[in-house]
Amino acid sequence: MMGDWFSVGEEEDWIPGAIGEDVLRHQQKVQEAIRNNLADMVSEERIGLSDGSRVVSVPLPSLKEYRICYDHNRGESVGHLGSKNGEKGTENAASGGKLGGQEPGSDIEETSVSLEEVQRVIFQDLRLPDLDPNRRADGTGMTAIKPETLSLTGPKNQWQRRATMYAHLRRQARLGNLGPGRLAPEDLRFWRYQDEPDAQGGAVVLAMMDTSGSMGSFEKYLAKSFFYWTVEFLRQNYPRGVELVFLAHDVRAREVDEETFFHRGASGGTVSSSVYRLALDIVQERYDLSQYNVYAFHFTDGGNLTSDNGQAEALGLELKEHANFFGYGEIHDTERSPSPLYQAFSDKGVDVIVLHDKQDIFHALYQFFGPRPGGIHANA
Amino acid sequence: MLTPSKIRELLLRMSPVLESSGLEVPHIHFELVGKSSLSAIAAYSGMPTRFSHWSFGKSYHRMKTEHDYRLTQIYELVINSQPAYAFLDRETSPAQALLVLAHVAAHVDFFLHNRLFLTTAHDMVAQSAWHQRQFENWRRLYGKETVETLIDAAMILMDFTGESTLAAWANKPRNDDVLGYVAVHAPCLEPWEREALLLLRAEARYFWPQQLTKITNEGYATFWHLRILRQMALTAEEIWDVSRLHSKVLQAKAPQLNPYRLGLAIYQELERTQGLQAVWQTRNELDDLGLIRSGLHEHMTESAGLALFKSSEPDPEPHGAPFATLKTQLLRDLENAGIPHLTVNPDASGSDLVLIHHHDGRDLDFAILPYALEAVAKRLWRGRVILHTIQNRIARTVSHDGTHWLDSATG
Repeated sequence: MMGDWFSVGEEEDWIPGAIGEDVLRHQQKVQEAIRNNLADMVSEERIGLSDGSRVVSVPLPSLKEYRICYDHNRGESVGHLGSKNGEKGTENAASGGKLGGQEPGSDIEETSVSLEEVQRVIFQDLRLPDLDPNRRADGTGMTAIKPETLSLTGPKNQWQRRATMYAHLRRQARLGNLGPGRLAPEDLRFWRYQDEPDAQGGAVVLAMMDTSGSMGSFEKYLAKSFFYWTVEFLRQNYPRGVELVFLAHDVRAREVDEETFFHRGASGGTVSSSVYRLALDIVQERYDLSQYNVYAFHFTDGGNLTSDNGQAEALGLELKEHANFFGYGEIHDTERSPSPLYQAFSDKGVDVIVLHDKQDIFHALYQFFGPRPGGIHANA
Repeated sequence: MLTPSKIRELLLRMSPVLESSGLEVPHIHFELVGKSSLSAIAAYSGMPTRFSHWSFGKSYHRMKTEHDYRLTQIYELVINSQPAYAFLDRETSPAQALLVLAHVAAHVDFFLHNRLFLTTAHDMVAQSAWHQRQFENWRRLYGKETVETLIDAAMILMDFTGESTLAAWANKPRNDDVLGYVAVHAPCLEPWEREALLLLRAEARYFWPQQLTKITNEGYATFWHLRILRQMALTAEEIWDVSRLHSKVLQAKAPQLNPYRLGLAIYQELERTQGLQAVWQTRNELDDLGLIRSGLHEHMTESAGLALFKSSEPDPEPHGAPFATLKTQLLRDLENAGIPHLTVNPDASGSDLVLIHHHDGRDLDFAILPYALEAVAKRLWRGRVILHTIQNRIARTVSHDGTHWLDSATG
């Protein structure tokens, strides 16, 4: 038996040729599925009020490998007593060994995708509309330093070996020598880093939300989800240079922090002009229009106090004048006509939208931030 | 880092012990590969070349993630063929490689002797490579989409290619061979589609005995790697290194069932009470069901460390149960590799595909059943698929015609 019962391959290494293609096709299907199921994901409760987990389980029907199988969520099964996954223990507790693995993998778990992946797929088409890159606030909109030019002096960690070698060889050549010789101080080259203005410009987004008593849990949920994704999108696509201001209002408006904005309860009546006035004040005080791009979004159930409609319209239009963009959204859980304020805004060229159900959040995102035919479209 | 010459050296070192062990090991060809190659081969269920499908990309992705997070690690893959192939992780330490090599040798011996494998194809490596070329060809001729949706739907029926592994049954038309029935009798399939289904059926048939022998095969290989290594002259460092891997393999992770751990316990008990002869006999004759039925005894409950877990809980707590209950439940879990019993009613009149689920107390997953039947109706049968089953103790007839799902109590 000694040495004749085995042979050992001498190949360097090899990987099944098709795996790259199959991995690619799977990723393609994941992205397709995310796009087709965006509405459901945008309004997923787990996402809407992020619990800090960066992986979400979302139903991706086209990725699930459907089987005729037992309902695994019912009944009991026999297993080993022992440490659970994720429990701390000895070195061995962290990882199980698997000798072999010929059995076909059974797949019954829900497909999970990372929040980042969802965002990447959703956000890549979204932009702040009509962004003027020339309006930059001091201190914002500057990218990190970039290596720009070479210098004769500098710290050692910025020493550029290749350029140094070139300089050295050039000097040698000038002296009539081919090939390297002794390195001289004048051969040394270093990167010099320079600040670079960022093309995305300075921008402020005013998130205005109706928190009056007439906003039911459904309305609040849609408004919050819309703003949640807006904030996520801005942070992802414009990691620098976009400031966020959160304004909540009922009959009075107040500026709140992000946490309060997303988690506060609601009461009182609705006076929309209050929040427009506050927005105008904030812009006037803090955001010089020659330096800032201003975006304003207001979500309400449309139950504005009738006596306030005239003033709300006037102030809303004034806000539109000052801002690059003013978007107005009304959330109706039932079929009904839009409010007079909606009509007035619509007639005067404000970007308006009515949201009826969860899917509309995504439509709103695309209407406000999506590619627009003929419009000026500044890239980040 | 293992090299081919190091492997040869280790195998020569092991040969005398292996020879006296009584294991019958035919020719094995070893390949040393990197971790991601190993994950890729594992994604194709151990085949170095298999037909292309996105679900393998998904498996690969999952395995690679699990590996990156150090949740599991694959050390070897053995292919049941002649000659046998074994893929090894080249980053294994030499001492741990000894354990892996002994484990591989026992698997190959198991494939050679266990009666469930008497009828499996011995040239699956070549067959699988040929299937890959066939599917590539069809992809070129009929479009990627057409082939992909065919495989998507066929995979649903790959669980139902006939439950028996007996030679006598291998080539007879059987009511429980749903995929074979559909391949032949579906009214509107193209000839190449029927051929494709039969290729997939051949692969499913090849893997089926492995699904029925996870505990008995892994337990056997673990029993032998332990026994062989104990008979070898190992240094203290090697013993330490090998023990670490061994305990890692045997580690219990609730609520999962570790086939290595349970299998080893049973084989050790067999050998202790009835000698090595019982081990050989078990290897030759039994599948998981038979192994548990005859080999799991009441006095082993405690040492086996088994408990009941509620499947619905995300983080289930173990429930103690009397031995008889545990054993009954375990047998039920393992019955037919955890796959429902399904047969075709070939005498059904009309153009419907009529399937009968032989209910054993467990209900089908009605959340995904409509989608599964829809795919079969739409892409394979091109007509109505009817399934008779029982749900919540009520007999039900469900059907999908590719457009509509109907669910009614059987009148």
